[in-house]
Amino acid sequence: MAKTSELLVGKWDTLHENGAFDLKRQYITRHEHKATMPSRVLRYNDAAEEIQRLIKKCETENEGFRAFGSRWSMSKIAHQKDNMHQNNLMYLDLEIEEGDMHPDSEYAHENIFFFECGSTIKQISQKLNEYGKSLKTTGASNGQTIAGCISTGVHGSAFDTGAVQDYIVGLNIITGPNAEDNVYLERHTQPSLNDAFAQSINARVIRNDDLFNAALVGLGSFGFIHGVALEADDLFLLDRYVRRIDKNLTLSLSKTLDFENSEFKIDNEVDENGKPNRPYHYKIFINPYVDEDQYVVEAMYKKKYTLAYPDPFTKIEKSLYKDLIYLLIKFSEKFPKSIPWFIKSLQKSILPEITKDEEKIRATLYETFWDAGYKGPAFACSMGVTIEDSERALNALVKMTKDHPIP
Amino acid sequence: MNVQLRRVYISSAIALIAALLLQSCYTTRLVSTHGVPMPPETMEGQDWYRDKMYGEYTAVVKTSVLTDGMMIKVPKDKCESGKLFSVEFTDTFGGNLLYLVTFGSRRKVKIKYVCMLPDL
Repeated sequence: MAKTSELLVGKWDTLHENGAFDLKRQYITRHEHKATMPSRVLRYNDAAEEIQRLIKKCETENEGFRAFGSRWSMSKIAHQKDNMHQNNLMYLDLEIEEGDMHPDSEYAHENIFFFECGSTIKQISQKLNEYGKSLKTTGASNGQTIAGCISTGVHGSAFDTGAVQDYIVGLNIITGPNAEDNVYLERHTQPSLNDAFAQSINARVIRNDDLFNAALVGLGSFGFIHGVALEADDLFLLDRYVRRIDKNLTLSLSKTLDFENSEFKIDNEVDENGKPNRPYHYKIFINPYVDEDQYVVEAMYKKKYTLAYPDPFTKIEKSLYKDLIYLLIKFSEKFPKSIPWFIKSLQKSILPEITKDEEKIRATLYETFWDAGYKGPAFACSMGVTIEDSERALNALVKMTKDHPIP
Repeated sequence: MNVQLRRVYISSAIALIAALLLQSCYTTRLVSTHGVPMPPETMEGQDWYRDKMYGEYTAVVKTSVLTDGMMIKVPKDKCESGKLFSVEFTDTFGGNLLYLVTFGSRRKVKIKYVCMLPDL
């Protein structure tokens, strides 16, 4: 039987310390050991029953219940004051056989994988790599759980690919304590797995595009997402370059994304007509406190996977003394005008190193966006603007930051 | 420069020097590029270990001319998978001093480790 620990924590916080928030109980469920229950499907179903038992308990006590993964959301969005369930020890993956595919499915069977809610991007990537597959994109990091990613709409980091939730093709959601509350939900226009697979995980099937799309970024409101079916891509490599290029060129590219007709050209990254290729990933690093003629740009290009490429993990990373960082923060809180000087001084530690063509880094998606370790309290806010307005939005943000430096 | 500003500068400088002198140590961490670290039940620390469950081994080890090394086995109750994700060695000013004043017969060992999640 799956076992759940109950912790009377009193307070709960995010990874980046955006709380702390009041919480009565925190639950952590662990699977039955594989030595005593070898079948993955049985252990998966056993855990589903345990989650339903917890939901029943909370319902009886007229209390709320909410799942969380790696606590990466930098807000109170994952919080619930009564009962919260830590999912990250529930990371089974279920084998999808060809016979599990829906007869009308247009997905290639070998690209469909099923992961339990607490599987992190890192775990999923490692598993997919074993099969010569890869996630299509990630939020340029690997610590979030898959259920957390899709529930909160974690962005992608590749052009023309979408966000993390866009490659999810099926959801196993537990909506309540009863047998009929275990649901397998997928799009009716794009079915992936058949009814027999849903029955094997004791779920009733709902195929409905609107429901599925709403549940994808449901912020935990649709129930406990227990498992997801996702569509993977063939394993690929990324060639990464870091360049310092003209500010106006970077901004014009941001407004059009017309790389093919731009002056931003890397010798190895051109088509047969000599025109620049469209990158997989493009990022600009801007220090808002200084006016520079050039910006640092990071561009990555997708390549077919080959086994022989240099180890990308060879760099020794050095970190600044934590006490020094806190001291600088405390100092800059008192003297905000010193912030631009600090940022300028630390620029070499913050920005990626400029690479020559021969110094490009070749790596898989998993290796490129490897562990982003905790580096202290953080907050962030984001907003969407059309690409045509990107320069105007940047100018507004730079002006705001200069007028009110942020420690 | 007004008096208050000067006080802040001086106190900040003293704090910076004190922080550097008191620390006088560095850590070296060997980290696996594969595997996933065991997550903690609650997040309390404010460093790299915040999202990791870790174990620590701190001891002053007596050595002799016959000792050429030591082996520490990771306790099973603190490492479910039995696989290490990271091992951190801390070199402190105090530890080096102890080594010097005891002519190498006492060594301070401070190791912090993180285990990988077990396979399910």
